[in-house]
Amino acid sequence: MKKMIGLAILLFASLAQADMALDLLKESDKARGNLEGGITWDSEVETHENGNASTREFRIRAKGVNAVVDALAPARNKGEVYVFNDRNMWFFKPSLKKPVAISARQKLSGQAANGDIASTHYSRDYNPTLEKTETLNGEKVHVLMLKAKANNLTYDQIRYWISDKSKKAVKAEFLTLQGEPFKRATLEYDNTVQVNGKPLQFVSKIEITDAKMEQNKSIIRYKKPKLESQPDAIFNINNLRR
Amino acid sequence: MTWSFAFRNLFRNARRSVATGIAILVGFLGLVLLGGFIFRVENTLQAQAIYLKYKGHLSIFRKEGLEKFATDPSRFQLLPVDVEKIQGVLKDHQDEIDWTGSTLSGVGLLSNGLKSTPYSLLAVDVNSFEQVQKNKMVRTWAKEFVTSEDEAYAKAVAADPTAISISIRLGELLSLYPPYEKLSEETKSLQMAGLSYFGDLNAVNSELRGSHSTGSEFSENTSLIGSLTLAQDLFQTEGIQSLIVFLKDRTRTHDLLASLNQRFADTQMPYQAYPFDDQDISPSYVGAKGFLFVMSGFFIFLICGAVILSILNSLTMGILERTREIGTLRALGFKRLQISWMLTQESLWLTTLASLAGAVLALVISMIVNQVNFRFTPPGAPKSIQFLLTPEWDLFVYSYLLFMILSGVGSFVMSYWKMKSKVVDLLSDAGA
Repeated sequence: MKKMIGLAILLFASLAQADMALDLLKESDKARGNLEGGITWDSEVETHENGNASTREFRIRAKGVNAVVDALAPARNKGEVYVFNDRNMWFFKPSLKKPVAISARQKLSGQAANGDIASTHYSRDYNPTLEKTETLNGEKVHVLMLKAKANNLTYDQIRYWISDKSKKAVKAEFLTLQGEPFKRATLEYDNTVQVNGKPLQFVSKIEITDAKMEQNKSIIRYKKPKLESQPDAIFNINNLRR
Repeated sequence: MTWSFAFRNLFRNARRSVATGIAILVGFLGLVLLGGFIFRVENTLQAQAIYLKYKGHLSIFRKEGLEKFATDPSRFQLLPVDVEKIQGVLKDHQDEIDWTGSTLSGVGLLSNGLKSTPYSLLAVDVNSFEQVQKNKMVRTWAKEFVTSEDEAYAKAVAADPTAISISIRLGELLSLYPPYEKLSEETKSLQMAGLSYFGDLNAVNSELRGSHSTGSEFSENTSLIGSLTLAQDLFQTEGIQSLIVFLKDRTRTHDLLASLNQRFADTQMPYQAYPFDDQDISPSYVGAKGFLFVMSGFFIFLICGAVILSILNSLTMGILERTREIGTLRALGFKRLQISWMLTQESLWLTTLASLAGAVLALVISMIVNQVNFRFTPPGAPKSIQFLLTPEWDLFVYSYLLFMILSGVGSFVMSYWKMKSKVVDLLSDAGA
């Protein structure tokens, strides 16, 4: 009887932990653009790679699991569009007759993958487990291990540090299938958007660094986020065909 | 006098002469036919490496570009200013050059608007497509590898630089099945995506106008051939990966290679030329040629070994049978050298007659085999080719000279050795 009670407690505890991990992930996703009503922001991607530096600018319009990313600068990229349809991703530019299906894993610029630029839906795409709770920069954080539910996602595994207080992700390690980190990221939240009349801290900077060559990095700066309803038509890939 | 004497002697023991002659004939025939086969395969492989794979007799890269272009193309490409400098150097060898072309390779995704699959692109200037199609070496030795589809593609890409040719398996991955000309224009419109040399994703329109086969399981899933203009548009560059040089005489390849590399080094130009038979330029050609030469070397060794043993055996038997005759000739005053030379002349006559018969037989067998149209696939070749026996005149000459040397030296040594016996011993010898 005692054993049964012990097992029940253990089961309950692990279920509670799984629920907690998923809740944390859902909450942290909101600050990275996963908002039902629709949101718009501008991104500046500053890349440092092998001694060369470059900057690219994008405008992101997201709604739920869909997003449209318009390239704004440099001038040669103006008019290029990335469309995120659920987990599928497309690239289009005005001279193309049809959009091109591309991979979220593909390099967008420097260390940033295509999948990093749009809104994040880790709570939908990954199975989270709580690895441990620790202190990071004087702040209590929960360390989650995220395992991909499908093979067309940006990363196979992510170790994700979520602040206990703000429920925002503050650090990430992107892991290979063998569990080795190949990129690391730190996140900052200096933007604010009003959701249902309440202020929500929104991501302002993500710095993604190569795990082996730390001088190679991409800094994504998020600017001017604002809630904005998005028409479904802009996410329809058929509207891009000529 | 001794030549006619030696000739008549051949008929004194016709059985022995025929046995030795057959050994020489079979050996000669084997060498000539094997040589003809090697000559055919070697030429086919060379035509494939130089022309059909667009390596040229010489490929000129930026220094270290051969190894590093794939990982850092923008740094190791040849820009128009580089090409101009190289062309300036090539001007001094203009009379040896048939034409020069340009290549650019890269990887990316080929999309039909519904799904994408990875490709590996080889882009070549439009002129080279046309030149290769009508090249004499290709037409002579690799005509089986040039299909009507290839010819149609060469014409299509000349008219429209966005025309591409894909390996059949790559097409299947996008649910495209030949004949492609029956597909609708909408279906034939494909998009190629790739990373530009600025590091951005870029994509261009292309038109499916041909299919090809690479002959390699590894590359068959991804092979795509397109024009240089299309590739430069996709990768947003004016540069090329390599300048390819096609020579009028392929035997001049290594001389010109040495001369160009010396000139690049002397003038401190950061370029490097490679021949088509460099391991890193044409690994499949070098591998197939190595295999072919080891195999043929082994067979030549076996043939020559068997023929030498047969000749020596026949000669030994002949000399032993003719010990008394040799003794008589010695007793009559013939010198050892004279007798050995006469016996050697007999062998040379026999070799000449057997070689003549072997040559006629080789031509007849080649004609029959070539008519039958046996087919086989050489290693690394995209499809089967006809088993052709093409013995060239120089093969006949070299084989004849080889057998003349073998039989001449063998006869002389054997008879001279026997001549060391005393005359009285030779005369009393029963011949056993």
